[in-house]
Amino acid sequence: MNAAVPVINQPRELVLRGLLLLAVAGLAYRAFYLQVLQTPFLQDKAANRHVRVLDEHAHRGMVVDRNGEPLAISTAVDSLWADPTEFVDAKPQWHQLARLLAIPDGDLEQLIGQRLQRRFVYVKRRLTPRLAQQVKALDLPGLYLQREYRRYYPTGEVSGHLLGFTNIDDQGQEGLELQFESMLSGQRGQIRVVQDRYQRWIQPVESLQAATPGSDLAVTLDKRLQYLAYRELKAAVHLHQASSGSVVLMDIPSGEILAMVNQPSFNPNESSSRKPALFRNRAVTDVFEPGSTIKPFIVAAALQQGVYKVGSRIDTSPGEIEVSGHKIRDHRSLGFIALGMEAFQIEDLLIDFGFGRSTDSRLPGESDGILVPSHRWRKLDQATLAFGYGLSVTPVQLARAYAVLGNHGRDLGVQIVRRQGPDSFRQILRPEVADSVVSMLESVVSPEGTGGAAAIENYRVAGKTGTAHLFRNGGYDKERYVATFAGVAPASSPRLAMVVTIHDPKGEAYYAGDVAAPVFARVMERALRLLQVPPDGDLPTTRLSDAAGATA
Amino acid sequence: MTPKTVELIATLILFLLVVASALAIVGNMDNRRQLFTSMQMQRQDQDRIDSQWRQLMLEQAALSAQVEVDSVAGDRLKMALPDRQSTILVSR
Repeated sequence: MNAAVPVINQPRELVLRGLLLLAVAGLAYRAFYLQVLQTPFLQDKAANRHVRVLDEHAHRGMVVDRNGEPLAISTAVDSLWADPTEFVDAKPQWHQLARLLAIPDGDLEQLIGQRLQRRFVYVKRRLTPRLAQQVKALDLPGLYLQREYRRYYPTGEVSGHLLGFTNIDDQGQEGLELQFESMLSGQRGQIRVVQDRYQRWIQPVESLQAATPGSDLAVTLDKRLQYLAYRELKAAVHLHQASSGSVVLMDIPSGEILAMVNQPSFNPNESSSRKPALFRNRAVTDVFEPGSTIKPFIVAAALQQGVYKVGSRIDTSPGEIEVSGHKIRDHRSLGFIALGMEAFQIEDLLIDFGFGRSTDSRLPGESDGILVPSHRWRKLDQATLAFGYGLSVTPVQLARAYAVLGNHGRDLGVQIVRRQGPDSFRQILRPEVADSVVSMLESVVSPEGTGGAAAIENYRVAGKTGTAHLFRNGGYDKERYVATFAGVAPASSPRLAMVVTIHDPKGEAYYAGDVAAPVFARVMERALRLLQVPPDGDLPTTRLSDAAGATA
Repeated sequence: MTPKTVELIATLILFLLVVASALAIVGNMDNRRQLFTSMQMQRQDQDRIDSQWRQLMLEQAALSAQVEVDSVAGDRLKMALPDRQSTILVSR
């Protein structure tokens, strides 16, 4: 090969160079065009859309009752906001919007007029979806919707205490909403998106972390019974001008709470009705002296210890006993029974029944109640304890203790959220002791007993009234009472235990038999029917085969 | 074939593979973006349907409230509890 100077085809080289130059010139022009001529337009575009990392909402779980009926649901709502700089152009249509939102024209004008320099003003928060659609249909400039979430409580004031409520950011503040916050709230996700200047999505880019929705919480309540108990309690508290009251209804075979209601109440749907004094779930937080409703446990202790037997005759003449210089009227012998035992024997049993410590319900704010250690009891204390003075209990503690009586002496604890795994129980009383106490309590609910008003048709009821003086300012108030009725039904094979407490009734009636027992009867009767518990009362009975023959 | 030719062919194949994988990456990226967008849209749909479902649950809860059922049963349908005289307990 020769190493000659490459003599190249002249025209071809020229063309090639020309093309390259042209390409360079083209690129240079493009750069100039973008950098100089189009700058304002492109900067505007860039300002309008930017990549941002946003939180992704995780749906808060529902709270449902034992039948899957919703007690608390979060739903999406829209909040309406305006950019006044644009919205001012729509001034002629402002009155249309005001009418739609049901706010006075003047208010809207004032709201926007005073904030003309701002770019963001909430017009109205949390519209219903229907209203949001109507507002959207007006198509006014500078008016935007923002997605928010709101918690609804279909049962309203009926279950307010138990469920609690959430704040504006959908976080639990009280009650079960607070207790089970981490389970209900789920995990927020993060997502990278391209947004425009109104913070509207243009395009999602990638998901950094997927949102995990909260789990649903199934509680043991029965919405129907909850309504029922609330209605009757409210009526009674109103009728007797009482200061407060509670009802606790328990399913004996499982230890599950079916209803827990209090008066006074608040509506968790309306933040305006939320006054802290009303938030207390009195059924677990408030203690009271149980009065005579404690007597069955003293009797149970005596029977359990073998101090007395069923049918034992106790000489109580002259109808009063004198202890430490105090005379106690005692025509029903309870003081004698209590004094016939060692203090620790009574104390042990009361502790077994769960008095003096909170239950395992896991409800926030639950009180322990008060049970003074037996070594500090004087003889007088021991006698008055048998009348339900000197110890304090919560309604839920008392309901649990009566459930134990009705459950043949077995304690299953208290559940408001269904426990996982098989039920375990402690045998507190011998079954025959528990059963005989229940049958003694049946005589209370007879026309001759103090609890006659607790009797219901078709079912046998066992229960006890208790009327105690209110302890105020270091002494017992002679004029003020707390009326309690506690009992189980049907007596032959108890299914439900219920406690009704009414504080400080100011009307004519104040005896538990007149104030609390009727509430018990009304709630219990319908609860047994709703739960389809077979009647054990004195009813005409026919055998299944005969009935089939009769209808054939 | 000389070793040189082999090398040349190998380089050529590798070059083609590089180009192919580069194109595949671009294609996949685009595919991924589209899928993600469509997933996001479906998620929004899910959200919307979920909201609607929750609304309907609330509505159902309002309509099936005890008070409502009571008044329909008692006032409209004239239903009443059988009294003691008209009750017979059927036992097995």
